[in-house]
Amino acid sequence: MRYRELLRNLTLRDLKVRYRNSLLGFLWAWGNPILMTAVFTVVFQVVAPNTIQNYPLFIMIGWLAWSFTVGSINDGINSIVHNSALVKKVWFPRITLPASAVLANAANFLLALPMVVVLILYYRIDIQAGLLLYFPIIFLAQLALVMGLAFLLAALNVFYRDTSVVMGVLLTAWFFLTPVFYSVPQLTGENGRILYYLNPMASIIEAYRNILYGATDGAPPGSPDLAFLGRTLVTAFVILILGFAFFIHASRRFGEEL
Amino acid sequence: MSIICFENVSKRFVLHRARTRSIQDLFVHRFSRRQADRAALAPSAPEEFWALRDVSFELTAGEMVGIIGPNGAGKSTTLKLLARIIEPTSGKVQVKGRLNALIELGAGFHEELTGRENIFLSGALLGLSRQDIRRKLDEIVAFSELEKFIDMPVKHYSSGMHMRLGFAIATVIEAEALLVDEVLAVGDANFQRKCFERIAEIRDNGAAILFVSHQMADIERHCDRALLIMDGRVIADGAPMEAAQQYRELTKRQRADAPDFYNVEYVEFQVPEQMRIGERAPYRVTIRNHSHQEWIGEQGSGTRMVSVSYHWLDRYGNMHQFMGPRKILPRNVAPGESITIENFILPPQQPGNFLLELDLAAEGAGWFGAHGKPGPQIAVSVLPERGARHNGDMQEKRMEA
Repeated sequence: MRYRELLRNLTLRDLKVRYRNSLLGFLWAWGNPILMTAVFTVVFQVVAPNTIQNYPLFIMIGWLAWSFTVGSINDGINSIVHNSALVKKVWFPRITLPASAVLANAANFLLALPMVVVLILYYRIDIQAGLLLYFPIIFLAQLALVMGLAFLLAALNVFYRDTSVVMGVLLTAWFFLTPVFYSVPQLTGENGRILYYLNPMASIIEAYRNILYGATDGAPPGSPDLAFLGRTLVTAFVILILGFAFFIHASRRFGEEL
Repeated sequence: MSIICFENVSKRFVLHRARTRSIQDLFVHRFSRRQADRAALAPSAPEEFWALRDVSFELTAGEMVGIIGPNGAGKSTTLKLLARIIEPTSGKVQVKGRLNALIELGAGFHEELTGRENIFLSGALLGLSRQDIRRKLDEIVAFSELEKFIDMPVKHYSSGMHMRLGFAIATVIEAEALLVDEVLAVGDANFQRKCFERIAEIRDNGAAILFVSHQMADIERHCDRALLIMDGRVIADGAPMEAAQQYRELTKRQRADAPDFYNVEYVEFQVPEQMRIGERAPYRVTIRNHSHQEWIGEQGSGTRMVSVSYHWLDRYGNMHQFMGPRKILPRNVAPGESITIENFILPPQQPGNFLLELDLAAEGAGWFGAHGKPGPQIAVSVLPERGARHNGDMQEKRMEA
């Protein structure tokens, strides 16, 4: 693949540009989650307390995974439109633009994981080495999911610029429907359950927590719900394939539409 | 051996006006169709524009061919088709081997990255591996004469430095075919000479070069052959001298033919003083037919339909961007009659102050996009895209180093 180098370069470009003009540089990969964890912890432990044990670790995992998805979608959706000067002048596989936007966010997510390790050590969570093998699988499911969504939305945004505006609202709704700051057992109603099963991000975040955090009552980490995770994996890859196919089909007209 | 091959290529553009661009338009459409006066509001058939019709030509290895023709004849469309930025409506475009385009030097540059980082990025855009780029790095830096500035962010480069780096990247990387657009017009005379020497060297190494220019002298001096394109068709394909001569004669004759037909009075012209990149702006113009012929409108037979179009000049009055979407007159206009037209304007892709100029043109063979008396020039300031992030064309930020 001749353009692997391009993908690498664009990803590095996104990361470099993101951190170049800031004082703390790439430490912001840590700064944002630390601050958000502090905010959520203050709100849900002090202002409106809940019973979730080791809440900072609970929220940090959820927030990092959620940021990976939201960041990928936000950067991916505009990746073609914001690079229109380039797309109109030079031919290269256009798919590298949304793909690199997602990969930069994936790199950001992985860079931030040491903070999770710090919290795991602090709360003396009983991590089982065997369970950590699930991590790459969950990560792969999330990567496939957001990659597929980024392809789909980036192409759609070329034809209908409102796509990014509408997504802003939808992402907020999605955030509240996903157990990021609350836990799955808090979803008691029938409707909540259904939404939970329909939402791939719910099972992805739940699976990360299963292996790195345990349960909200303080129980140690255990195996994720494999049937559920399996279905999510299938969903993610179906979305990836659909997104890819749509993007390839639509990309032939980018040069004219931009 | 032929490197570049155009086989009966045609390219049709469907002009933006008739299409829904946002979801709002989609709804407004729906709604207005239910109105009693839907006939008045219903969208007309999409406006088509054939930029190229049945064009065939070939370039063999080691050949440098010039393309000449008036603005809007189809030169840029030809280059874009070759660069794979757009696809032909029919026919076949073939390029054997790698193709480098000097269409816009430095289009892939990111302002925040250093010259060196941008070399790697641009090289990767052209499909090179890291080793390949590393091997070429010194040569690129030396040719661009930017040794001292190579680790400085590109946003601090002057436009000349930008161009030198872009040219160096695009020509140091070997390719079987090279497209050269008007880009060489910028830059100082010394560097221009160096560029032409470099291009000649590339040709001698066996690459096919397609060269677009308005400078007949350059075409005659450097090219082995020239294509004359008008109204999307190849009118001549032969010795540069002859093609250039034919072009001169055609433009002369056309000037002699045109005046009466295009005798137009711009009665009123309304356009916003500010526009924003990526957002279309409405305009309204009233024109009166002062010629002795009827202007044929949309219901015409398809030839010689008269349309209103516009172009952008920079603040010094030089052409910046030619021809936005054309608006064909909705009806025929008899001599002495006037007509009011409302349509949209797409601002240029670059912020700054520009002059907007309307003009009148006729579609179809024989007129070669002859233009009438130019309309009034209106100053428009173009604002950056809403929520724009950095991209390659924020010229304002460059300073002379």
